[in-house]
Amino acid sequence: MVGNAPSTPHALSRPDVGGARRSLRFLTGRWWMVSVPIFLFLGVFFVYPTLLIIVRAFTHFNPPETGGLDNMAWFFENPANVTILARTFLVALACTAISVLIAFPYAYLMTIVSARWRTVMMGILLVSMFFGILLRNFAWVVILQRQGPLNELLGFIGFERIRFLGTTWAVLMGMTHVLFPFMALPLFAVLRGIDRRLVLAAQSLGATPARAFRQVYIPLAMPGIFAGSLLVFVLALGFYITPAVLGSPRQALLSQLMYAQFATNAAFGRAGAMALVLIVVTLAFVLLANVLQRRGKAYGEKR
Amino acid sequence: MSLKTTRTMIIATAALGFAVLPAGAQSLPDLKGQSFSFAGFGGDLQKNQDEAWLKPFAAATGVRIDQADAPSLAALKTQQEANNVGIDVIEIESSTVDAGCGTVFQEVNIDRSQLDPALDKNKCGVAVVKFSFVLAYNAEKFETAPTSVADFFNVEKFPGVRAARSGTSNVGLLEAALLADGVEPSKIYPIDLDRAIAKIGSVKDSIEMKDSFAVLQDGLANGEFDMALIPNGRALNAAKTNPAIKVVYNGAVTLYDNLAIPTGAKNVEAATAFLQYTALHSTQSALTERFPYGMGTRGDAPKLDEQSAAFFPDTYADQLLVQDNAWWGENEQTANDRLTALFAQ
Amino acid sequence: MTNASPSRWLLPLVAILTGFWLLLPLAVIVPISFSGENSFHFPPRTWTLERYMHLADPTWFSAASNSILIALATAVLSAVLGTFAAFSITRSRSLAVSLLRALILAPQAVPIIIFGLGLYLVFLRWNITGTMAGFVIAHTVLAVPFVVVPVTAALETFDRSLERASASLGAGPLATFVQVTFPSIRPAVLSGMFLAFLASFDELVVALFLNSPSFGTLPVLLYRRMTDSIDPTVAAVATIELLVVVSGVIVVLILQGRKSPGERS
Repeated sequence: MVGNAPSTPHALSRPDVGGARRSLRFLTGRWWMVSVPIFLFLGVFFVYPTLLIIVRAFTHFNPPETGGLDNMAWFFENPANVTILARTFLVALACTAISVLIAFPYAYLMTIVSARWRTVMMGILLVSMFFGILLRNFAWVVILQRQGPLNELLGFIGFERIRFLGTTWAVLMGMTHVLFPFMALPLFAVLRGIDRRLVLAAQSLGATPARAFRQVYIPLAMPGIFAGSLLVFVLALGFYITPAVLGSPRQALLSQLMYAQFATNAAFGRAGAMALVLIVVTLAFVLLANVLQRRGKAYGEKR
Repeated sequence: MSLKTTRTMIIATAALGFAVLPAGAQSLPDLKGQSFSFAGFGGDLQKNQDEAWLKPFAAATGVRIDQADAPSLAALKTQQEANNVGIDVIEIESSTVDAGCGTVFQEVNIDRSQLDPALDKNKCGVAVVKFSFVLAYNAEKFETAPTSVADFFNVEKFPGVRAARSGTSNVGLLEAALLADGVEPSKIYPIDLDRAIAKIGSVKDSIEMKDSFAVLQDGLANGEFDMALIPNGRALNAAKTNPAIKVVYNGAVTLYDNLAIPTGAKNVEAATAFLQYTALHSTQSALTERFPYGMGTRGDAPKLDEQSAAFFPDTYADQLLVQDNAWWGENEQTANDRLTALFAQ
Repeated sequence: MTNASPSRWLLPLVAILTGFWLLLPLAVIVPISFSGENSFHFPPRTWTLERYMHLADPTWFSAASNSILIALATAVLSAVLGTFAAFSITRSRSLAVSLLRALILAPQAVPIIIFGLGLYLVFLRWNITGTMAGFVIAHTVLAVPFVVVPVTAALETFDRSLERASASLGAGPLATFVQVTFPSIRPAVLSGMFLAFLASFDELVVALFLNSPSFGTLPVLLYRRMTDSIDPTVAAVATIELLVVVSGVIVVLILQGRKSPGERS
């Protein structure tokens, strides 16, 4: 009751409901005010530093670039850069696709097993997620090296040793491992809310189980698949540590190239140009995803 | 009881004195309450520098030393632009200090009499850590042993996975490519970049590029790679883990580092005292006896065991290719760009 | 149901393989921590307990304590800023709200290298690289969404007639918040803080830019020891972290299971 004390004299001095009305107005009318701290905070510590880098694409030049749009031209006229940009996208797409393929069965099973098994599956997911990203990358280095356990196993079965480390496959493996929970958790949240009686109803109306699943369950699961995919794709585009540890400069992704331009050449202009390209393309994807999602919804409603 | 305590104290005093005295404790200033930061190349080199240089110096002067990894020149310049330099003593390639003395690095007023005049080329740095980019290979993987760093490019005679360092320190790869392409050792510099890149490109599918020497070292020791172009100290570490690792010095590019104080550093007094301390032959040979990198000073030969001697650059002085500092100082960014472009596709 | 029979065993098989794949890297690390050689070779050829002794070294200790303090401060600052933001998102009808939603999530979409490099340039000028405050600010930018998302969800389901009731009974806004609103969003705030703590504790890229010779975090030290010297002490740290994470998750799941026995199906 201590918390009540300051309000008591206030209520006493204004015996009518004026105090209550004032409180109510505060509760509804001025809520934008509490957003001031976060706007200031992110404005100063996120927007400003990020813009600072992007602006340098047009203000900072290393020879042979001299001015104007030279940094943008450097990026697009250099086939290596375009290859790396394309690779970054392909890796992010592949990572998203693999995540959906393995997270969907996992999340689906979590919705139909007993509570005890669901707890176990959730536990495995959380342990893997909370265990540091860097340490998991480190573990993959140990597993995938040429004399590592995976190759020992392949050798035991009678295969040739394969080189995994330094390849895009290793990077894909490491990234998918890190991003799996970001797909599985939103997916599970959506799937557990689906009323499975709808699938049974479709079956009782004559649909085969496969068809009922495809035409009733999957559409209901789409929002989860969609949310997870967008999250995984966007996160994958910006990965730095995993490709740096598991990949090699031969299979570089855009973030590695950006860091190299800063660290070896102090070429902030080039780094800025790359940042701009990556951000614009990411934004375009997010917007496209939003449009697609709205269309999908509208389409679903029309049906 | 008192006898035992006394004896322990005597031993402790003697041990302390032993650690401090060879370093010329008499001439070291009192730096209690001060600190400076030392940025080296990391790895076992820095661990040994810690034992041979930093700990004795800190014990004798009372200074506190914070250690870091050497930032690239680019990162250092970024700190200088912002007027916030966090490094007081940096270890960096001598070509960089030759080119940046008076601008990026500050001149120091120290006694340079014990430094080797052939290596003492600027007024900012102290020449330290002479090392070679050797061809290290796994003897179990090849029937005949390679005889020159040029064999890095001979994929017919020596099939296998080879690895080299990418990024800032890819010194050695271009030179070895030219040697392999038939260029006389005396005509390597100035480097014909087109020719070197073409040669590397012709075998690039057999070459793995890695961002860190440690990864090259462990990969070589573990059989991930069959040969690698790495500094001789890294090769020794690999050989300590896996005795099958051998080195070829013939044609190995040899260079040395400088310790220098960046312009804008905050603890110049302590940093200068440390530079003076490392300009002594006794200091530098203490490091070499722990870890077989060459010295920037002249004096008595260091005492090395058999394995260390086999990895020590001075043992192979007649076979080495001395790096052209000036060429690298001018062309590093271009060379990096070309190599990045080559391997990115 | 005959059509579905392959899925009867296929589904659990895929899930078991997935679970195995999720845990595999964690299991591999443990033996490396007892390796007697300076190599990440698996399985180790010689064994020792020395790696765990190395952890007593002040380098590891100060990195770990820096990381824990930064993560705690980040969790608190994220909770304050994030709860404010969540209130404004759910209750204000101002147009700025949709901008705010986008702004809070934007740091996740901008590649971390860009943010890290930009922040490094700014903090260099302000002289707060290599300080606790600098790290906490940087990590809070990244961790705030972990608070905003659950608290917004909790506020959306919160019955605001309770607040009106409290207000009409004469309670001021602060009292209403402390006694009515906050208790019902507390679980969301706490779970957000927990995730914010983890996000900060695990953050490496920005830390690589912001660390100084005298001040760094545990991930920075681990990264150095992995890429710069081949030091199996990394695996000893990993093993300890694994123990903490596993016991933490088990405790949380048991507590949750107790709280909602009705959920059993």
